Amino acid sequence: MTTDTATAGPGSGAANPSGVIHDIGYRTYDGERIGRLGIVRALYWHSLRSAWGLGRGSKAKIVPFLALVIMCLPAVANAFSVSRTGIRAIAYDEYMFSFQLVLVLYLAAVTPELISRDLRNRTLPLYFSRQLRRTDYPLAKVSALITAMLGLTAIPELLLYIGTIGSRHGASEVWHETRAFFPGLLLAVVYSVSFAILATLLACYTGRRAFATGAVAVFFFGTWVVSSALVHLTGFRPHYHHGPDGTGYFVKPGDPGIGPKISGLLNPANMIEGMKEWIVGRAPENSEIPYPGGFGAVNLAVLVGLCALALFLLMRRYQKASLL
Amino acid sequence: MTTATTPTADAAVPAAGPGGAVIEASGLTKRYAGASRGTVTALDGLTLSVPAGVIGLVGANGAGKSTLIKILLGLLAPSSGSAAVLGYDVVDQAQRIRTLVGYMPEHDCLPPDVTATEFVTHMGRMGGLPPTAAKERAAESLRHVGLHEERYRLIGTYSTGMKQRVKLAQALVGDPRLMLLDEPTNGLDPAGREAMLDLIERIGAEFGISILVASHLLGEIEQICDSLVAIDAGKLLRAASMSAFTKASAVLAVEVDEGSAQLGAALKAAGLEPRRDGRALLVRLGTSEEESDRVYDAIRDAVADLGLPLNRLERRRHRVEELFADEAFDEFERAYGAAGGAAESSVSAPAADSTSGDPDRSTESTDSDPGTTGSETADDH
Repeated sequence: MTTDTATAGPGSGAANPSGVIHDIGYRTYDGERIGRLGIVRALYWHSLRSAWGLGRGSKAKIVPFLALVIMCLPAVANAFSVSRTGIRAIAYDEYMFSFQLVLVLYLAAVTPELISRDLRNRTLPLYFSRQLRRTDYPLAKVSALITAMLGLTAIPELLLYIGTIGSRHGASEVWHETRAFFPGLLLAVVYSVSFAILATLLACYTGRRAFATGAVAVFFFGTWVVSSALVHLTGFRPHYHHGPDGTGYFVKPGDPGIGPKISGLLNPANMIEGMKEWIVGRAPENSEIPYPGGFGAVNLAVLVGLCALALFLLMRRYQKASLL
Repeated sequence: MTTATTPTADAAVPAAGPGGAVIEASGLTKRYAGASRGTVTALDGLTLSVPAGVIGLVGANGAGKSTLIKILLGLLAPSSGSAAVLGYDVVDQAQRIRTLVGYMPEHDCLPPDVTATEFVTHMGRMGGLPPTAAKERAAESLRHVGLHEERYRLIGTYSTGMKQRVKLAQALVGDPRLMLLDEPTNGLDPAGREAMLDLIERIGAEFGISILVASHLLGEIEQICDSLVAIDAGKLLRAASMSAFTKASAVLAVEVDEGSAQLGAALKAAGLEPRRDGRALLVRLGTSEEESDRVYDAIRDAVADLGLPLNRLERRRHRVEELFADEAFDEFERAYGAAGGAAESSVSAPAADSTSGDPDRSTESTDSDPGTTGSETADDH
């Protein structure tokens, strides 16, 4: 096809020694090409690396790694606590709920970089004029963000586990610990998947980085404040009461009624927390979220439905011709 | 990430041979169902077949150039009709087409916070190149478009001309068989335009890559094109090889300081069909030598008889507005006949807005000798 062009000759490829800069003319590329799946994988890796600030400037690494350090601090503290006093600092299945703030901060910082940047710079037409299908791009991006989030959620859980079994003796104790660990790990996955999908959807509607950051932060914080306030306003009383002299006492949890249960659905973290209480069959003693009983099935259904809807909207967003 | 590599070198073989059509369309129509403005027809029954080489796609802004390119890339689905690129159907085999085509959009599409090398490498990866090959080809592409040491700088620090080069490089990085360039000279100064056009011509001639160049300035891309497709309001005006365009009829521009109205009347009386274009009168040269001579003589006589100060007499190639020539000449006649010499009645073709940005029009010499100007501009191709 281009026999009359390259002075380097067709097909010489890598045989040409380099090192001296000449104008060697145009060389065609006859080497292998990765297929569409390979490209999706390349985009996934590229996005995953940028989610941790790798391949970007040093400033881009600050937030992700600071978030990871903060997330891991309780696990490290727990290791000391368990080895010295035998008292566990934090439970596996309360870890993510207690530190959702850090997860949201991470997402607010990273999602705009992954999603809004290509919208803002109008780079998307360059992707879509290549082999990628319209759905490949958001799928690669959301997968990368989920994986990045897993690093932020699963690593602390793992550290917590390792730190604890270091002080456990005997197979039965380790086994007991391991059985407690797996629900925590599963929760890390649930948090990563749902938070990442929702944050991606929020960011894909704007090319402005600040707006995307704001949308993610306001959505997770705002709904959390509203949901938690409504849980209490609709009649939920915590099981743990603080006394005036610093002591406290537990009251027997009664049925909180439907109001607090529904209020708990208004925020992803509260929803997941309620779902977890339903699945493990008990609420933590100082829980802010009422034990939902059979209503937990609704929590699960709403969570799955919400994520499915978000994915659908995300895919639809990238079908739009106006992105070209 | 390298495990899924599949050798698809066979995909790079164009289905259309060197003699075959690179782009074909038949009855290609695209309508947008606008919510507020009703249905907009962007392309209207476009039928064409263009051979390999550098192809000019000319039309005014909004004529449907970008829509056509996006349909050819398979990014937009045609409302009706069909099109094929390199022998592949744009609807059924869009993905195959996109492995063989490089696209340079009209608008800005570069992230400012990465270096050109990083960006073009990434785009090479997204085009299906393995990591090492992507790096090598990115460096080569950037070198071909004339970015050397600058390629390690952040794109945000680049001038418009350099950004256009990066856009071109990312289209080139995957070693395409066809490049679709949407207004590549947009926003460039005259020197930058020249450089960009030279580059495109070189890619077409030396690299053996077919190129479709969209522009609203025919005067600009006619220098580098092998064939030309002119569209207006979504309809095909003409699609032909460049030589067919120039052979059809060259045009002579006559410019006088004053009295262009009388000159027009005199030329009409001499049996010619003058047409106003800005300050100049355009007169068709015949296809044969004798006819041209007759036209030159008629003009010389008319100018001499009226004693007008002749400013310029030059031979021009077709420009966008001249593709509308028939209507335009008629219009001139009407306007002329009615006003009886309204000198400033500006009659121009629908796409005449292109004259404002035409670089070589103003740099043309004002030599009044018809012989030298004629040969000077006649065969620069």
